[in-house]
Amino acid sequence: MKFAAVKEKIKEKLRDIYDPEIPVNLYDLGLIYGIDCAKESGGTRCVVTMTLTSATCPVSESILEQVRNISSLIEDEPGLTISANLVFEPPWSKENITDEAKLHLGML
Amino acid sequence: MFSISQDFAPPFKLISPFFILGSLFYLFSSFYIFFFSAADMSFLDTKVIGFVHLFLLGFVMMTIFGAMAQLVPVVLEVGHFGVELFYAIWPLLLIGTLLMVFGFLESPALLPYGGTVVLIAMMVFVMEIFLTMFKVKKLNIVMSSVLISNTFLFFGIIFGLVMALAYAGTIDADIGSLLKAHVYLVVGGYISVTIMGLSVVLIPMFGLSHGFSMKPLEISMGMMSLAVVLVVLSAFIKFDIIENFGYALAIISQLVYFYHIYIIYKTRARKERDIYAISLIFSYLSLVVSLLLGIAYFISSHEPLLLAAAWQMFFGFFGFLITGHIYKIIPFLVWFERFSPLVGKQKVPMLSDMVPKKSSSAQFFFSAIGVSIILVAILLQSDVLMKAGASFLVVGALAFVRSVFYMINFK
Repeated sequence: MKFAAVKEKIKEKLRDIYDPEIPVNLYDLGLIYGIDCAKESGGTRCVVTMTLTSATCPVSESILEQVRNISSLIEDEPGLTISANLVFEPPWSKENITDEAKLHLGML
Repeated sequence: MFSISQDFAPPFKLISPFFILGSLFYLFSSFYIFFFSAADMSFLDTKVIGFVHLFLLGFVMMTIFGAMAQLVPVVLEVGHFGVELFYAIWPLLLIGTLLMVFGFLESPALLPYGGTVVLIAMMVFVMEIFLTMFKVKKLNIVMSSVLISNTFLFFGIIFGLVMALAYAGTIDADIGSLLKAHVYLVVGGYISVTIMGLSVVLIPMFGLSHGFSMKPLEISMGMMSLAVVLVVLSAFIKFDIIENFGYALAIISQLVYFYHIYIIYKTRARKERDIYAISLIFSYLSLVVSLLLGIAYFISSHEPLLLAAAWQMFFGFFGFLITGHIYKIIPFLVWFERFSPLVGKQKVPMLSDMVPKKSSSAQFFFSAIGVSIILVAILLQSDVLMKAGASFLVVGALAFVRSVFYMINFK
């Protein structure tokens, strides 16, 4: 599948990003709605469509900054740029959380 | 794309004095209990009134004002009108509180001075909030709660100042009526409505609760607002039916609010029993106990029941709700100030790593035992139990102060 490798690398890095309040990473918390990539002159451009657990989350800007910075952490993809598309529709719900994370949060 | 402005967070050095002083006043309030005599406690006893002001102004209001400096932008989604004004609020509130407490205990002549300084502190706070609210384009229910509660506070402090002047003998006025209006406007109108509004933002945010209706909040806030207006009116027109209806509405309002919190609790994703969760559980159980004692008082008119209800509401409900939130708010502010610039460059702590486990647990257990023993002491009018409870409370308060300094100095 086209861009499958780069998307996988982005997912891996998303698993390293945490809201400092919640002991589960962004990906397993179900905050990532999709990753879309396209070729552009000079490299690949990916858009991470994501949400937050709360529209008033006070660390939102720090989280979004970390998502945008993922491109600098993937060394074998020169020219990769990543932007974050923050949406609140559909709203996040606890059904988005992976089973492993549910276990960590004491939900299972 | 949805965008969120992040330029609203006030500097930590502006907010930290509120929390440091708040924790110290919590400790002073706990010490103060040693001077109570359970056998002849009364609402009109100047020791009791002094204690209420020490606890409510020094701990509850000081901490709420500091928290509001941080939370108002979160709730209103706009920046403060003049966040620097908070640099003036805490010294004024500190001086005013001390003058008032000494005034009640030693020299009533100090009361108008203390009352005026507190009035200025609160007016600066209320005006700052009102001017900030002018920036809001559309009010939601939580924003409305900020507007309503601060309007009640505005009138509450006016009545308080008039009462202080009457108490000191400067003017002639019915202190009993003013006291009733003052207490209801500040405790029911400001503190309760503020707690209702902010808690339905903060508790779901920390517990990851979603998909619950805001209708119970609208009902409980409307009922509490009406209750405050009715009791204040009845204080001056002396109409018992209106007054009793107001009291009943206030109790029902709190029960509806409790139901709302229960729904939020049931829909939460996070099930950890950390210091925040157990503090809130104790806090809301205290609210229920307080309401039951209040109902028992209306049936029996036995004053210790009312004193016990007030105790459980103040030290049990307000106290634990505030201390519980301190364990979330201070780590966040410190993290935001010291660690957010390091994100992505080095490993940064999680907020839970910044909470001292042993002293926070000690604070919870000693304070919870202390509050419960004093509740029994008030009901049984036992001095021995009162002193025993105060001993537990002081140890809990020392652990709380230690926790606050640990979190503030976390590096």
